[in-house]
Amino acid sequence: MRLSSLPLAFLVVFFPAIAFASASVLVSDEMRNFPHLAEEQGMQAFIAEGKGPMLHMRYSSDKPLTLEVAFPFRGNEERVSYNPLHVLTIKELRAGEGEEIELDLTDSPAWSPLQERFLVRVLGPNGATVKIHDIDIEGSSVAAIFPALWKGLSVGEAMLLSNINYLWGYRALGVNVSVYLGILFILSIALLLVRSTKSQISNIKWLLSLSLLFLLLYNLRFSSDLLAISAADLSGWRENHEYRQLGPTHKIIDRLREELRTFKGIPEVAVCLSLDDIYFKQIRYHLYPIPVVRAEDPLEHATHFVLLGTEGIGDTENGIACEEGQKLRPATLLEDFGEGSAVYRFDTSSLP
Amino acid sequence: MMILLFIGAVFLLIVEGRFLALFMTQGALQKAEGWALGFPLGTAVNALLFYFFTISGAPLTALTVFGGHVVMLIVLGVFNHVIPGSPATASIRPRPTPAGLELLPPPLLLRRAGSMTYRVLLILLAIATAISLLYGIVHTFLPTFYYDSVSQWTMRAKISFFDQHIAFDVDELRGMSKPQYPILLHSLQIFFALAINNWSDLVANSAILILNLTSFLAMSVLLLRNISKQLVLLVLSTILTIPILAYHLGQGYGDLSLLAYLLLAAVALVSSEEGKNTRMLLLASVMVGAASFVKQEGLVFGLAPFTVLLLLLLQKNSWKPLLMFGFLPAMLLSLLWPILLLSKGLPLSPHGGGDLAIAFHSEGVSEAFRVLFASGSFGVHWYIVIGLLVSVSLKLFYSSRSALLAPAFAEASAGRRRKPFILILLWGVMILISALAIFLATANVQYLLNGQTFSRTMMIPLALLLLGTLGLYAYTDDHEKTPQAS
Repeated sequence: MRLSSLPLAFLVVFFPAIAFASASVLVSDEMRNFPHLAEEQGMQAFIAEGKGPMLHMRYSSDKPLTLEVAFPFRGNEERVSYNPLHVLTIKELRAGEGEEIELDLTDSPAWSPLQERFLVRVLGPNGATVKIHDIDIEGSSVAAIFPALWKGLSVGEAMLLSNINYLWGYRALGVNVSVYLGILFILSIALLLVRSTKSQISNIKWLLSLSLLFLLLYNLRFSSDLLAISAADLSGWRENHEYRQLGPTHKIIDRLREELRTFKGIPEVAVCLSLDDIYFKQIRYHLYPIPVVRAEDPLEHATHFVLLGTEGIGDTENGIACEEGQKLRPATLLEDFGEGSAVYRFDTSSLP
Repeated sequence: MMILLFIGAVFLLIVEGRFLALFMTQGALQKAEGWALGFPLGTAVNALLFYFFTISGAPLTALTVFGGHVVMLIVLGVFNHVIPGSPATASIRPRPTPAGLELLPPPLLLRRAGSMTYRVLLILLAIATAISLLYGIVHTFLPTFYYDSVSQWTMRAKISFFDQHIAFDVDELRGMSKPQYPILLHSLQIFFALAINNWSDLVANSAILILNLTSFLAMSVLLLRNISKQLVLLVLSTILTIPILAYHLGQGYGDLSLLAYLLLAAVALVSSEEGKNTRMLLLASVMVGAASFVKQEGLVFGLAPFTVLLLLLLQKNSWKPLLMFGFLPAMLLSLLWPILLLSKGLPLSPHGGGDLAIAFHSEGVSEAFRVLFASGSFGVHWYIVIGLLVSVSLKLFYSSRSALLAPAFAEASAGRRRKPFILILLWGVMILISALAIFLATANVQYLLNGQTFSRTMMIPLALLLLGTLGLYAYTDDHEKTPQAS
């Protein structure tokens, strides 16, 4: 095991601690949800080296921590590339002295028995004192292969906005499943062709059956994802008026529509967000032809104010704004949707 | 009420498109083929109407748009019923039998039964196809979701609907910034919004879904001229189960509609070449023009390869019909939109000069291979198409009747069967080469490396290659059963 880029001090502990296997979450499972309002955290990152299916870490901390493990496939000490969807996360690592945890690396489809480098990130509240005493990659890779294969196949497509452009597919042991199936298909054809007589080659109906079989093998998995996401999207919309990672966006749109139906004056909605631009574009599209602007611009003409995944500045009495340096304008809270999402109506008296 | 208006508008486009199909093909279509082509062709007519309203400055209101459609309907209806030899009666003529198959006993035309294993696998794949369609239908009932839908495609249609003119914004202030996008899909969405006199996400997304589904339906119906029902189901299933394509059935951008029109053009070209029917060639060229009205890529993936194929067909055909019914209509329709852009002083590409910055980007090669063969966008489809292609080639080689690379469409000697599906195969190869050139030899390499457009572009050559290969397979299968044909 080797640690690099680790500025944290090591502490020798004299009493044994019991390691607890912690349940990790794969980032791809979380990215379909509306992002939580994250508080600012300090972070230390380092590369852990070794082969094996289990990460064992001993640490001390006065505050609960978050541990993230990524699986680099390219890069050097300064910069590594990894798939963010395949990162394993353990939240709320308990505070304490000489705590031990074990993380099953095979929970990520990026894990492979050949993987030797892991990017480990420890995140905690600013000011937390954290000591990593020891970190090991251990266990038998051979024994872990079949469970890892199964777990990899069970991880579905992330079903994100970006999927319209690109699908990640299914990975097992760090390799895309289409590679396994494709090579197997080509080998099957080669084998059958080599063993066939000329007359058998002429009758290639068997080839169609073979092609169908391999298409089916892949689509069996993909179709199950299509069905699952269709059901989840439909029920999410019908029951909660929510659609994948958009969270309360459509509730906000509906609230604004209801408000603007009776609003006297020329409406303009300013959106303040710390999230991806798509949230702004969603609100702008669905409210059109009502003008929707980014709240980073001057708020002089805005009649309504939307916070999305951010807390903004100020309060309703003294005035609110999106970011420092903007003029605070008094407003009335129309509805709070939680997680830093709310709709306000600016006091019309504050309009120029 | 809204649903009745929507259904009425769908029916209007179908009837109008059917009239146009019958008029263009002059009796070369069967009844079912005319109806199946109705919606895709009606959508193309609608786009042309919007185009002429745009250049004339006429407002896009229910009165002008539906007035225009009624006029078109009357004109096409009159042409179909008054002009001698018009298809009103001719459409009941028996479908021309593909050349070389006329000596087959009728049951053989439909007999491609295959083994029980093959049938079971095909049924299972058809179920997977149904799931893809279900995904598309379910997501039509959900709000518009994707990036370019809410910022370019559907957003532009919505802005234009409220403006009563096609919007040409370049600054994104109102939500769109790429006026270069051709207007076939926008026009269709606005057409239905005008029909219900309101903007509805459900209606806007349904319009695109109906276009895509009816285009695939029309392709299947036209394919029945050449191959068995079972093989048509196989073609449809292999195409609709391309993972990234299944995803695009649910509120995709224009790529799927572009592909659908290209497939229709390709199948019409095959019918034209097989039946030596110039009217089907006209249908193919109109579909090429429609593809260019969906996305500008239609020029590169539609008009350019179509022109090359027409040049190849010159070997055994006289130039006049190829020019009059093939090249000229396709070129005219395809260039209408770029001419409008130039007349408005707009650049043809939304990507600036990057499209013409020619330089080989070796860093994109491994990424391209990874996306095609080791990503979820295509699953195992590229492996399958390669395997099929190799096997069909071997079969042709061993059967010694003709080599795959011979210009089969040129009928080298009497008695040699033509294999017009090789035209589709060539079309797919040309798109594949030009797409790879665009992504590896221009600044568009960025859209390969960041994953934005490469996958959805590559589903176009893949679908054409699948269609071409399976069609060719059908013909090689004919050889086994048609001694007269050899």
